[in-house]
Amino acid sequence: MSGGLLDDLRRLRGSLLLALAMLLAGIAVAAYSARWHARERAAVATLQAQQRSVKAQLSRAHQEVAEIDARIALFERLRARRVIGAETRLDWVEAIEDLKRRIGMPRLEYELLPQRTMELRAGDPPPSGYRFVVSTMRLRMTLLHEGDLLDLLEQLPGRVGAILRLRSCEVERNKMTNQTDARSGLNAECMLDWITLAPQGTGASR
Amino acid sequence: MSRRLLYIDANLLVAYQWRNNGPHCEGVFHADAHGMHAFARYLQAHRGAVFHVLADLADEGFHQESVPFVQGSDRAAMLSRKLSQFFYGASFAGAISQGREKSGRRDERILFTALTRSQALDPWLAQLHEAEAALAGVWSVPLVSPPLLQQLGITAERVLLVHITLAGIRQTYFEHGHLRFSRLTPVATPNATLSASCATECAKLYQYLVGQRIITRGSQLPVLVLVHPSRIAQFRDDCRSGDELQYALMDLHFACRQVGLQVVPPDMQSETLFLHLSVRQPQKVQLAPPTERRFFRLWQTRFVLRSAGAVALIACLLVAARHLVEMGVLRQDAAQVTADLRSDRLRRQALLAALPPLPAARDDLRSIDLTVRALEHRSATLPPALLALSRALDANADVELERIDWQLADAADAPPGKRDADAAMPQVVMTVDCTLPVALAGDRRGAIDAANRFAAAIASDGAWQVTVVRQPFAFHSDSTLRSAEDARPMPPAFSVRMVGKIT
Repeated sequence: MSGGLLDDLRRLRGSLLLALAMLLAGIAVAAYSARWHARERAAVATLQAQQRSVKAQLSRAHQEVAEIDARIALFERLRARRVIGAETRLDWVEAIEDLKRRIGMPRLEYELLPQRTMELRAGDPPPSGYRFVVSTMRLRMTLLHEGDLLDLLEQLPGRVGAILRLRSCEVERNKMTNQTDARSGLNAECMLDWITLAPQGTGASR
Repeated sequence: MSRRLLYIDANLLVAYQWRNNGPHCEGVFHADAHGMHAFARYLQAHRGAVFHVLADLADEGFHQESVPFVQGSDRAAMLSRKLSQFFYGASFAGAISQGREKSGRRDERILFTALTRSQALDPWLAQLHEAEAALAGVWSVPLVSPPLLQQLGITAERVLLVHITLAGIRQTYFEHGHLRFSRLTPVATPNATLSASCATECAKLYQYLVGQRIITRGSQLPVLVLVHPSRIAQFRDDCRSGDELQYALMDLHFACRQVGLQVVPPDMQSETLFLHLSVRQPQKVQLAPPTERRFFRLWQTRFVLRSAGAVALIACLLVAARHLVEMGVLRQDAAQVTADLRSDRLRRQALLAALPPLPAARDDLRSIDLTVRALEHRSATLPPALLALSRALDANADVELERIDWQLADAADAPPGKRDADAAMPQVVMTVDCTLPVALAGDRRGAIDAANRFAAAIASDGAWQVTVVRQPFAFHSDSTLRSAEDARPMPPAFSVRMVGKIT
């Protein structure tokens, strides 16, 4: 390296150092601001995550409130219908006899079997304070026509404090009918489940 | 950047400070010991400035030659060789490209020029060198003249520009706007005879150009004379056009304004016009050797280094500023999010607090709700099956209904072939026993067709899967088929089974 070049470099030393100092200062400022910026961004991201979580909770709360309202309404409806509590068998049979008269059925016999605990489907969580109980009823009747049976099955649920579930129904032409007795054209036998909710510790045994 | 312009002639140096409106005189230094000393002090006082030297000397050489067009180091070597050949020993020399020939090898026309006796310059440049001043370059007055013709709109093929400077009468000859030759004639005559001297010198130069065969004898040469407005009448009297010289007088102040010089000369001397041109429209070619410009190169390097550092610093500061601005936005976002968060939490608490008292445990309510819904979902009524059956009976009037058996079959009760994904739901299974007219007792095929038609009629709406489970006659291979020769034929009986989903 020639002396002239060395001399030039010596003369440029101050400018070189100044340029380097400016560069380093700039990098330091930019790096510090970038770090600061990243910290702020992370803080905002955390807050936003919290916000999403709280919004989800709020949404769930809205949903839960609506569900709870609907469930309370259902519970109150069931209680008003006397589905909850002890079976009101006398009311049930009176309702059946009343309907028999109203429809004008020639014959209606019933047989209400003892109450038992209803088997819940797998996956249905059993309530801890209540249990579903079921009493199966066999109905034997003579019908003038099939419409009587449909009327009975349509009107009965609204008159009794139980959830009714039709299990089977057998209808056949009455072979003993003669031409003179037009009041007994069909025989029918149906099986109905009368489902109620009994508070735990009351009602029939399992 | 502080820029200083130094006008140097054989006797003195005039220093100017460059400003946008033109050069402003800062000092006049004579070429003696006192002047040198004063100039040294001047340089000390302006250490950081960049200096431009405009030499106005009589000892100049011009030589135009066409050379083969080469580039790069070959060109530099060739030009250097030619300069040494034409102006041996001249330190201040340069080569100006004036374009290429339009024919032949398309050689390049080069004007070689030099200050052939630089003794007038040397002491001043020595002072500059000693003061380590940044010398941007050395130009001669003719070297900076071509842009003036363009600015004045002079397009003549040949023109002789005449003007007066501190050093004397300067005559510069141009061809096609390119510098070709220049001559400085020192004058010691009073101002009163300056116009006559100009006319005399122009005539002499005409003869010289003819002698050099630069122009042909008898040809007309336009002469443009820059004249102070107060002297135009005098010049008009003395400089009369003839067969050879065609004078055109131009107002010096008009010329100054045309090139943007606002500080016009007070008299005939026009050096400030050319100093102004040397800065406003600098020529690439200057005459100083690299050694004289060493401190200017250092100044340029320092400038680049500091500029690069400043640019880097500014860029980083801009990045930081952007971060700061974004942080402001982020903080606003954070404040908004925090407020929203607080509001959402309060709303949630209010919602939960506003719930009515529960009549049963929450889990029990849920369980009861789910079970009751499932019961409703899994219950069925008679009408849908009876409706399908009724439609089929209407369509098959010969079929008599004897018995129906409706069952709500749980999945476990469903037929083995039907236990698919939907089979988890209970299905309605209804078995229907029917009879056909007695007339069909002897028509086995007709009775079987009637039973199948009836089954197809039930299944026609697509809601039911119907199978004939008992045919009017047992014709399958796995059952016994007997003759029926009874005295009293019985109506053929058959059974169908309907399987459908809960609707």
